[in-house]
Amino acid sequence: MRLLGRLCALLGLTAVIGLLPLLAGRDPALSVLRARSAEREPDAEALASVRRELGLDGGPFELLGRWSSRALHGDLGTSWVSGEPVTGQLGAAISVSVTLTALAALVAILVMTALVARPFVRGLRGQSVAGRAGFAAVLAALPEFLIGSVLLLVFAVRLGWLPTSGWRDLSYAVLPAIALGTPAGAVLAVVAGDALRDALTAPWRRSWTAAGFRVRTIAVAVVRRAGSVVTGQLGIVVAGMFGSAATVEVVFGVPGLGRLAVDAALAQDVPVVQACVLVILLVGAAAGALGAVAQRLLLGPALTDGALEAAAPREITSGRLHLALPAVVVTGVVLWGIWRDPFTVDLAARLLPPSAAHPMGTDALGRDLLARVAHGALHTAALAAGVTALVVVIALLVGVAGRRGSGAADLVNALPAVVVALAVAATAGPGWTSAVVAVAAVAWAPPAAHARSLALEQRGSAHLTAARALGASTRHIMFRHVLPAVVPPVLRNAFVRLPAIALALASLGYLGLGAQPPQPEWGVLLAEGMPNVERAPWVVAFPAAALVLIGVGAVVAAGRMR
Amino acid sequence: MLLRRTLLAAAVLSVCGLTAGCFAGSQAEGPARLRVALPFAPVQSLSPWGDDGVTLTRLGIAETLVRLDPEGRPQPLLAESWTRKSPTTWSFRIRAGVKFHDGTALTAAAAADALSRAAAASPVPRAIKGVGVTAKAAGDLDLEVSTTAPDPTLPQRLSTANLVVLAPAAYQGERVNPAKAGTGPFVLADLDVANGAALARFDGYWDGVPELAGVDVRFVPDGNTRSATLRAGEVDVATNVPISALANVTTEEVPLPRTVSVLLNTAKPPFADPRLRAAVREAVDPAALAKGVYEGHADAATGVFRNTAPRQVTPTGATAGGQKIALATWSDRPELPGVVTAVAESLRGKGFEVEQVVRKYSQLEPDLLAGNFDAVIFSRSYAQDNGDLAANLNLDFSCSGGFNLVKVCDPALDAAIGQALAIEDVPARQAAAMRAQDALLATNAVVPLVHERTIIGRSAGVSGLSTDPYDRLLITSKTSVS
Repeated sequence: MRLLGRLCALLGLTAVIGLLPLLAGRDPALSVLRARSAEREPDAEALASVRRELGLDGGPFELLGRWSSRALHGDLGTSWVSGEPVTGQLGAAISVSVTLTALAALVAILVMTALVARPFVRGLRGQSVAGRAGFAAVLAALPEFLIGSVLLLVFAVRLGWLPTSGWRDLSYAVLPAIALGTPAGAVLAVVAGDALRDALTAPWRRSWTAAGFRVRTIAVAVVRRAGSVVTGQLGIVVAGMFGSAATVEVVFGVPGLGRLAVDAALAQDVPVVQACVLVILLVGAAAGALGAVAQRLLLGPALTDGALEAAAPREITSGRLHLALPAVVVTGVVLWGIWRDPFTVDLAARLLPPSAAHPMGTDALGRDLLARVAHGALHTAALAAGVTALVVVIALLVGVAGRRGSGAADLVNALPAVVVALAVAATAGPGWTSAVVAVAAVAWAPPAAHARSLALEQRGSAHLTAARALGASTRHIMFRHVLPAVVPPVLRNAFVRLPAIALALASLGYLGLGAQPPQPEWGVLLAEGMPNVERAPWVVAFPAAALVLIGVGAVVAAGRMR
Repeated sequence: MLLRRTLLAAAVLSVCGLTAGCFAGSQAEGPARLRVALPFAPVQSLSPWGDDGVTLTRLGIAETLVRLDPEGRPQPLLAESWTRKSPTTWSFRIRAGVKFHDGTALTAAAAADALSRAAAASPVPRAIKGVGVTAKAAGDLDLEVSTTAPDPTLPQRLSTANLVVLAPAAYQGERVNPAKAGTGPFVLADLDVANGAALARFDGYWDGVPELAGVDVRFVPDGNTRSATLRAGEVDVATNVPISALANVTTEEVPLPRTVSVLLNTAKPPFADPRLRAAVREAVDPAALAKGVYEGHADAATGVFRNTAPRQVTPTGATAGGQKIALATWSDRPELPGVVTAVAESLRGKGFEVEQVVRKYSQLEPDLLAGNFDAVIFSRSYAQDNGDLAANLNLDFSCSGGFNLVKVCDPALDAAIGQALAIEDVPARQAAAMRAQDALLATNAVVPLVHERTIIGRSAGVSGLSTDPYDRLLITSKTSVS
């Protein structure tokens, strides 16, 4: 029954997302004509001809009817733009994306393992398990397209070890997989670090050590215990890479599913969008289900029998000065640059390297980069922090309050923000609100799944059985036991993604949502600077460094919150 | 530990196993094959009736009856010669001895079929839209093409890449399949080209055996990556290299009949006021844009068309009084966002309050057509399809023009355009169009900024690339690589 419900939700969501562009505003005939011939003026005759050819005259509901009756027979129709069967296009893209995602998942796991290995070993030896979330936050803050471009220039162009772009054999997948997997692995490392700390400091570990269990036995048990949280997040991150890798796919010319979905959405190629969305939702649901199964398998009957042992509440990290460093640096830069002019164009002073006159150099239009970074700081940070806070609230509400899984989270998680944004923009119109809604609509899923698995473990803990036996109210249990254990890791999980959210917000600018030039939003600075990354690295390095600082600062701040 | 290793090995193996079927087979790369990186993958299965048509001609797969020389005059290609038999009927003599890639011979009947199919396509190709082209074979090699109204530029129209002549077998119902159906120096084997295509030499090519053994094409959407493929030695030719990625690349620059202009919406305030339009013209500095934003890889414009004599205009000194304007452009062409920011700064200096809008063209167009912007930085080819300046002026700037974004409607301008359209002799017609342009520039509804160039990157050994300003040809039978 539940499966049937999910299936219906899936088909409904697919149909609606695919059809939204039709219901509001933009004429699909114009978009299709544009995709086929970029410069042809759209005269009424040509539009009528396209409309006739595609059968658009019947209106959206007739289209929906035709689509669902065919889809039930496994026929996804033909692309409006190319006239080719959708299944062929989709099949090729899926096999590419599956390979790329598998390799990227491997990279993510390696990165995560490398980042948590040291605190894990120290923890096993009984030393402090203070996680090194700082370095993970640095990696997580690096934009995928920046990692990709740098890898491409170094390993493909300079060293010639790997191909630059295309898709012929496994060597073509290496660089894109690293670009995709590194930030994903860093995000996982933050989650895994928290999970390992909880497992290492749980009371049973002390008993096992006292009982003389071998370190290896304990290590396996700790990994298994922490793995129950990490596998769910791994599934959701992998599903995300499967569906929303469009930026990396463009940099490396990889004909994957993310690119297909975004291109089709821009061209309003409704049959292709629907097919892509359907596949992405299916993969998201499968990844979510696998995560849930893995959690059951790893924890065994203890989860349902209330026999888990939770770690003691975590002590607040004592105030060490270097933790405040990111905030100090960012504030310093803002105070330094806020007095300078971020807008004046000087075509005679293009791409100047850092100097006394321009401490961060100038951009491609001769504008002072320090001024632009400083003026963009408040807006970028405030907006991204606002969206992240919104995401945390949604995640906690859904993850902690909802007892019945987070099917919706699994479903939306993998959708490319651009596809969602187009749907949102079609209904709500362009503007900041649409950008925020679109990004939040996708970004709440990973922390929600995290919150759910943590809450589930808390509820399955032995001390809660005791509390219940003593007559504690549900409310008491929620606020005294569940939330204190769930909120800090979820906050860290959400805030380590803050730079990604800032980038996602900026990436919607070309749809008319969010920041528009000449606003010095950091994501816009990065996007503007990317073409010049090789000859003028500073135009990208400083905004990227600023984004990293904000990311590290956010994680540190979230780590102190209780 | 052993278990973990086994699992890891199994994972790696399964990844590799999965991929075995996922990759397109490696393509043979001999010394005499040319490897090319193009920006746009075919969107419509290489149907000639959309933008994919140009891919067919640029790669030397298919050919048209007529080609244009750099001055825009029609020259023989698959048609050897032509005469105008009556005001509405032209007779074309098809070149003898031309073979399609499937071995069949090019006849007037095949050419007539190709033209008739294009004229019935959905939508009708731009070059023959509203012309009412009908074609029939009058003999084995004699083709008769008629139009509903007298049309002096019919041969030029037939030069557009949308009107390539393919073998009769290529036309299947409403679809076109150009595999093994062209007449060009290179044969397209099959349509599965999303990952690239391997073209073989056509030994039966009518203009001599091609120098190259074949062409390997791949599609790389990102400009910087395209340049990187060339620098890494993976390809011999990369087209549309962005200006920011020119370092360490050997290039050929082709001046295009394409102009970046500020289009001012004259239908509503503030640019209904000619004084404020003059203020815009006086604010912008085309030379600084060409040198700064385009780094010298574009030419400062004196008119909508290249080679316009500089006009002597006395400055009005007009300034704005804080009028709010929305200045839009699109991000698909990499330099336009830079241009819009530089122009916006100049306009602010003239007293305008400027809001910039930069989107993808597909996201911008509905608002653009609805006239929601006060000014647009627009990159427009003025010689598409037929190279006819008069027709382009008529389309963009006459009262009845189908793409009149500036919404200008000036009787003097319409009269001048009408005069140009009435002239049949090509050079005289172009000269009349240049005169009509003066009337247009006097309105200041359009403020030309720069003429663009296209940049082709190539490795040192490549020679014989076509530098066709109409962007229709690239690889020919004379192209070679050492």
